[in-house]
Amino acid sequence: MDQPLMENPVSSTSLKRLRMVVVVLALIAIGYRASSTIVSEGTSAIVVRLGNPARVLPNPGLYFTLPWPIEEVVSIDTRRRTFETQHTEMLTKDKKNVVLVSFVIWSVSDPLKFFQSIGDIETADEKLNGLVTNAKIGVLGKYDLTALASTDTTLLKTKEIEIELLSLTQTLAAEQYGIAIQHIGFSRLSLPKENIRAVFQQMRAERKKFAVEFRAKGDEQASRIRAITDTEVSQIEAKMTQEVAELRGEAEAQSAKIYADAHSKDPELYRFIRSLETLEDVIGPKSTLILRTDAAPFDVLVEE
Amino acid sequence: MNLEHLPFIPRKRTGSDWVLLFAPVRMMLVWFLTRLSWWLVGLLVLYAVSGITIVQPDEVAVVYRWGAIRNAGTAQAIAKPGMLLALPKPFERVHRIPVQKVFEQKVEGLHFRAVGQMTFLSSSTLNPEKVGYALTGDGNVVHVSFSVNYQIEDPIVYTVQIEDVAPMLDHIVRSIALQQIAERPVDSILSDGREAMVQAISKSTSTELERLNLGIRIVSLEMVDLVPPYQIKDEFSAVQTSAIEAETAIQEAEEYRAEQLPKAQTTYNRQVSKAKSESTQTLATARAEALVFEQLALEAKEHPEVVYRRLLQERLGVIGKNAGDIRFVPPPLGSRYPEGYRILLEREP
Repeated sequence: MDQPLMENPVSSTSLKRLRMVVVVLALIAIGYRASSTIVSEGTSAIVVRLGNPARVLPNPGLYFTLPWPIEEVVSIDTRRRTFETQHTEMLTKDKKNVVLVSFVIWSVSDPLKFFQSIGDIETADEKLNGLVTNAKIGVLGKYDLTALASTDTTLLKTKEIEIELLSLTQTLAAEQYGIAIQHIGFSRLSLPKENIRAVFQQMRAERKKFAVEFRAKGDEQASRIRAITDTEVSQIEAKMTQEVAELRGEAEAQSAKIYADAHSKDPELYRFIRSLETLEDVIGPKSTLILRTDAAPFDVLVEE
Repeated sequence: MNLEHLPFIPRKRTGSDWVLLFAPVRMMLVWFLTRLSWWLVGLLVLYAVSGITIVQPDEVAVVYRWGAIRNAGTAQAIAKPGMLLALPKPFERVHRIPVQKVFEQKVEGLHFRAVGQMTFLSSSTLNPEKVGYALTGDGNVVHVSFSVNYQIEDPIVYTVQIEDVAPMLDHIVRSIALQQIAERPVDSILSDGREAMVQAISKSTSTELERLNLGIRIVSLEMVDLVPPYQIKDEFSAVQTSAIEAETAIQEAEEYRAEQLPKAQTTYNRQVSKAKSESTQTLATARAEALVFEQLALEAKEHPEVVYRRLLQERLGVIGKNAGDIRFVPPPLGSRYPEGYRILLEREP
């Protein structure tokens, strides 16, 4: 046993010193682990001595306790968290069934009370579900469905309902469970599935009505535009006819006056010329012109 | 009873046997122990500096000393980007928080996507426990989903006071969306009122987050989807088709108007212009002819026979060309008219 194990063996003094250091460190570590606890931010702790809550460690930091099994430290998360209630049908004042799902923002305000009355988060959720649902059934029975959904904003009372629920549950939760409820809101507002069929029928009828209305309005507007256009076109055409007639009439009147003025200077000549012009117009291929041989200019062809 | 001679029963090991068995382990241990002073120093140094942390440019950090925030309540509680000196665990613990990062939270609790399967589409109703939707102010139903982008505004509150901000934000947005949808008619929500509604939800969410002090702020809130129930899809499509048809009819009428009015105006301008031109022409002709006539009349006063004869002969030439037949007859005896003619007009049968 005392034979050297290697060529360069460890001296027994060094080994002893090292063993001492290791043993002391191990003892310190074990002692620290067994008798200290760190309470983190966002948590509180309860020191339970032989099954009885001995003291509360509400603030973060390092604490020392008696080692297990004399004392045990239970950590309680005091951060704010959410919880959503279950889907439960309830009746409004106007006897309509609704499914109103709520959510609760809550935290542990009294760790000792919470620990004694509830113990853990899962159980707290169950308790809150019962508390909020019970309050909700009571409060909702005082309001019509229009308080939750209506185009008339004066009828909407969602905020009021939420505040009423909060005031009903806040004190109870704090006193009974050590829970601080910060906010209650509605995360779902639904109708029972049996009622949705009727809603669908109503929506279908409404859509059909809108479809007909759209088409009719479109046709009516289009017809009106066309009619206005036709009227305006007619007005333009009428104005055009009038202006053209006026222009032509004026020109004719002026020219007639010019002609009259001129012709009044020699009416005989005018008649002669007009007669010749009329003859020009009247004589055609079917006409036979009979001329005397002594008539000019043919008289030049006849021997005297 | 001596059991050493019995088969299948292991012999009890003596002390020297154990020494031999663990001799290699002991050799390794001794080898390490001889050099442990250097290792120990090295390890101690490493342990001492293990708390030093580099905080990235998009982060801040909070140091917990024995679980409590170091320098709590002061500006030094939040360490800015750079090198952060901290003691090693378990004395101190560093928590880096990405305050510049934009987190995305999908809010799908009022949408059928939250179901994860589409079997409800064939159903004639909606089970509220399985399918998300919102009731509109006029008693209709819509499916809606959102995407919320947010940043950490208060790292202390965010890390210390809130267990999980994501479900909290999800519930708050849903709650506000429910209220906003519940006060509007479905047609406004699906069409022209959509934008205003999203803005109202975004604004109310910001206000609510501030009131509840959750340590975050909204960067943007977007409506990802907004649809009527699948079961009413055809009816909504029919309305849309009708609206498009109506719009088309109006557009066609507008086109008709746009075509007809300029056309009529063009015709008007052309005809008036033509009439003006013709009037001018008529007057010019009248003036010219009057002038000719006046000249002729003057001439006729001075030389009536010449003028009349010339006029007669000129016209007679034209008349003769147009006439179908020309016959000549001798003048009657003792005729009073030295120059005369007769015309026989034959009308077509």
